[in-house]
Amino acid sequence: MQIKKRHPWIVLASILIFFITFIIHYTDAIDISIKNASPMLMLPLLTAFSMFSQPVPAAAAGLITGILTDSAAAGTLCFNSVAMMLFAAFTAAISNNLFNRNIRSALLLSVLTSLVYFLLRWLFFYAFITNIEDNITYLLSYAFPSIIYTNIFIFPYYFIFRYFYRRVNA
Amino acid sequence: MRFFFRSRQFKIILAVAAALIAVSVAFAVIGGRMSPQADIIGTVTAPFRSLAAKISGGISEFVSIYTEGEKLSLENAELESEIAELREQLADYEQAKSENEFYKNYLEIKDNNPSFQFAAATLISRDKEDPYMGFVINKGRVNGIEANDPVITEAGLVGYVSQTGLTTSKVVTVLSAELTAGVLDNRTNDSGILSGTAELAGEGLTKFYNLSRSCNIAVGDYVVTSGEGIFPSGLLIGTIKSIGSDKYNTSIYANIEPFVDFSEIKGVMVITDFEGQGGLMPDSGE
Repeated sequence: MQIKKRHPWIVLASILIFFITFIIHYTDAIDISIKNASPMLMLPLLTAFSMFSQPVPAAAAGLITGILTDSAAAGTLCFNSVAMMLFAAFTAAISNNLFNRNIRSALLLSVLTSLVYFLLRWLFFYAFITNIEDNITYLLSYAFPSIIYTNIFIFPYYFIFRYFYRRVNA
Repeated sequence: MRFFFRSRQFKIILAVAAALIAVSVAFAVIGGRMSPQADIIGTVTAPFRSLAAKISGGISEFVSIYTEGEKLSLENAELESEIAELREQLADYEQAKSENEFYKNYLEIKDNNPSFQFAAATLISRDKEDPYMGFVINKGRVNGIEANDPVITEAGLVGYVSQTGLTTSKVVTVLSAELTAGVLDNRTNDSGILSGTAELAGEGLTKFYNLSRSCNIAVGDYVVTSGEGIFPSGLLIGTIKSIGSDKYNTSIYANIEPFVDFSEIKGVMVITDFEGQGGLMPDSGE
């Protein structure tokens, strides 16, 4: 967040939102998957946070989120750390310089981020270990439904961080 | 925007990304270990995730009491019809006898394999983007767990440890295309290779392939590990659900329904040591 005044409760609330989302996403607390479509909750969360941040804090949040994700995801090494840090930095830079901070921009950035994320994930972890049929199955049955489902979650996160942003800059 | 790309901040971010990529490459070459930063964060957050896993289990049970009444009555009706079916099956004495023998053998696996050393572990997080249902357990190198250690439940083989951290480890399941294991039909001793596909994983199945056309496998047969590769022999995997001809060669394959319900796993056993550990993985041949 671009914090002009001291608002420790907003920082605390943001950290809590990240942590709760992570716990929900990586444990069986609430299973929100629909068949093979499993939303990657960390992406819209990071997109919404980065839209109202400067690139460096956004990159730091992306890096920490990515490391947390790498510690829980299967066999990803540093993939999530690198991807989420860069996504967050670029989202913040684009929001600060090119886009308006509105829900349409948030949705566009979230769609782009999730599309690139799932395609990179497919490229690094599935494209070369299975045959063509399996690759197509992964893309059509898992990746694309998950991308669509993931982007639904940009709406709540966008409005939460917009509220924080307005409180901070009021 | 141009200023951002020329800024020192952007160069620092790129340098961090380059360093992380270098670490990834180094650890991918070494193999079997989590990256150091994920290991540290994983170790720090493991107690929170264990707690969250316990709380989530409690919440799920509590909520299901109130929300699944209708579902339970449907399940009850289904179970009653299953009981009737099972009564008919019990009439088939030979089959029942054969199954009893098999279960008796399974229970004796541990007695028959005194070299097995176990480490009990609990699932602490699940990778929901992984179509093969991989997960993380709360035991790592400090508990004697190493990469390629087999993971089982009382129902059968779950998979193997793919990466170890200090106090956590990642498990690849038998549904995964990454896993390749030598297996055989317990009744006929026909051998082949087990490996998953994304399509079958969606249905909770895995594939037993490279079987000779002259083999005698049948639907309903049990499939166990052959001892070739990283798994000890005799670990139960599942039953043959269907049989088909391979499109690309003259062999046949079978779709296997594992005994383990991967969506319900809470606790597992890791076999940290057994006689013959460290064997080579079989060649997939595909």
